[in-house]
Amino acid sequence: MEDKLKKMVQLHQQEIDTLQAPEFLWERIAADLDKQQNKAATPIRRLWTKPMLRAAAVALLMIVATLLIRQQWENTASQQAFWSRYPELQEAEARFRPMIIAKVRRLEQIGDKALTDALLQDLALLEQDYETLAKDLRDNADNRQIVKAMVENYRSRLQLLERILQEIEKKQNHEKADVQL
Amino acid sequence: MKKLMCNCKWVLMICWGLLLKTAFATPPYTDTKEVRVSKKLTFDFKAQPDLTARLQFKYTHIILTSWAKDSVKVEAEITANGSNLTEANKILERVTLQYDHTPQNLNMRLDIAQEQALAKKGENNSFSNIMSGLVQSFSGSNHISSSSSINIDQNNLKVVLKIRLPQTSFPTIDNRYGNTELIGNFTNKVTAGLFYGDFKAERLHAAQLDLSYGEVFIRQLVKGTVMLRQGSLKLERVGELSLISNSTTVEIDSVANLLLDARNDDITLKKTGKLNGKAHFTQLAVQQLSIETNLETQFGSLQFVRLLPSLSTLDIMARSTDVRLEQLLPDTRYDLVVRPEKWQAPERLLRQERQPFEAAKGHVRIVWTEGNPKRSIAIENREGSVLMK
Repeated sequence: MEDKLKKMVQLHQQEIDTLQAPEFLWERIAADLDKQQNKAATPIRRLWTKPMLRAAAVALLMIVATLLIRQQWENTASQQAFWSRYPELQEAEARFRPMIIAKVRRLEQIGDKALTDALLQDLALLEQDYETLAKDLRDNADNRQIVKAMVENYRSRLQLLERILQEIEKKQNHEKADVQL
Repeated sequence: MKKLMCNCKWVLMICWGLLLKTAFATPPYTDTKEVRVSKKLTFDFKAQPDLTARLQFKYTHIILTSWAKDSVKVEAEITANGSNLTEANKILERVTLQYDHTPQNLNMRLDIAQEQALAKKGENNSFSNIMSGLVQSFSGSNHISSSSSINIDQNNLKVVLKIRLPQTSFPTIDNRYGNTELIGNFTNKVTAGLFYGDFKAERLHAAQLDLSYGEVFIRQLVKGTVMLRQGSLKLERVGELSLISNSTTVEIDSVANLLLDARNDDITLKKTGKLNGKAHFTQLAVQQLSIETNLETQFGSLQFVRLLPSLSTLDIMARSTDVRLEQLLPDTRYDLVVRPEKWQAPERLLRQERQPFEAAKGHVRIVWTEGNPKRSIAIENREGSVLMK
């Protein structure tokens, strides 16, 4: 490839040295340059500065926001209406949740970190089961069994914590007694 | 006399009034009889021996039976009870059974329509066949009315699915709030995910089971993984088992090789070959151990009632666990790390030489040999007790 180019240059050496570019060529280039400069100088049209468009944009935003808020509100209202059908669940939550929180705090005080983490993982699994049950509650099928299972789920969380706390405390008490002896 | 007649008139009028009131208060006809409606589905087809059957069900009693034929037979029955025909049909309306099949696959799914979702019934559906309730023909509408939000429960809806499958097929079962039964001998892998339902099987060659909130009974399992939470498990004969359990009661009559990951369980193993793994906050009782065990425990208790002479290794790394060895074997090297005050053993053993082991924590190491050692028993129990009889 390089050899071919070399040969061509050598062959036309004389023409290259003497040949002049035509005059119209520079004129054309200059005209093209002017066109490009004009294009660059044209200001960007900012549509949003026009009052009508600004108002329309605001209105559109307001409509979208209203729709979103309304949907959110409807969801919350329907959820509240749904859960109000099951007072026993609300009772169970009110009764067990503070007890569970208290036991977790106690565990954090007396158990080591690895143990607490493992137990929190077990509690998370139970909570996951609760969510599955809550999802199936919407089937409106065998709700008595599901609601019972959901209440039982709270009880299981508490029992799990109680059993483990009891065992840790029993061991710790034995150790204290041994030290005293 | 006239006065008496007049009084009688009044009495008669009052009686008439009362009679009329009773007559209007009582509806002319009351249907107190329960109405039962049902829908049956039956089909069969030729299948490949290695067919995969995917079943996704809720509130259904599933009975799978294996047979030595290359075909599948399906029988499903949905029965709804209501105080009248409309109510019974409305219950049935909400239950849809979808299915499709090829010689390689059988897919079946049961859907319970939610009130809002019923209008969309049939959309986004890849199934070729749908068996829905009778109401579409009864009311001519695909929408559920607000008055039809009847609660479905075990008393008014019963779904039974019976399938005969080739014994070499691969069943994959997902069932919630319903029991699952496998009858016969399944020679390929059975996969099941059950939530609030019992599981019963006769003979499984390979199984991957994820079960929670139910009772499980398997007569024979050759090899498998069982994940069990908040339930009970009874296995009669097991070859190789990986058991991941949490808050359960487990009883195994005989297991050749058990890999255990247990937390907060009560486990009883009657005849055990190999036992490895970990048990935290678990009461574990091994009535007979014949080959080896390598266990890590935390809290809970661990008991070995009988150790067979074929035992090669017993290695326990325990923390705050109460360990009991009900039998001491001859021809064994013993290596024990324990707090002296928490070690109970025959007098001759208590006289063995003690080496300090992490003296600051009060542990000692006791090593002794009985006879010509053919096996080793090593127990390291931090903070827990060790009882040797």
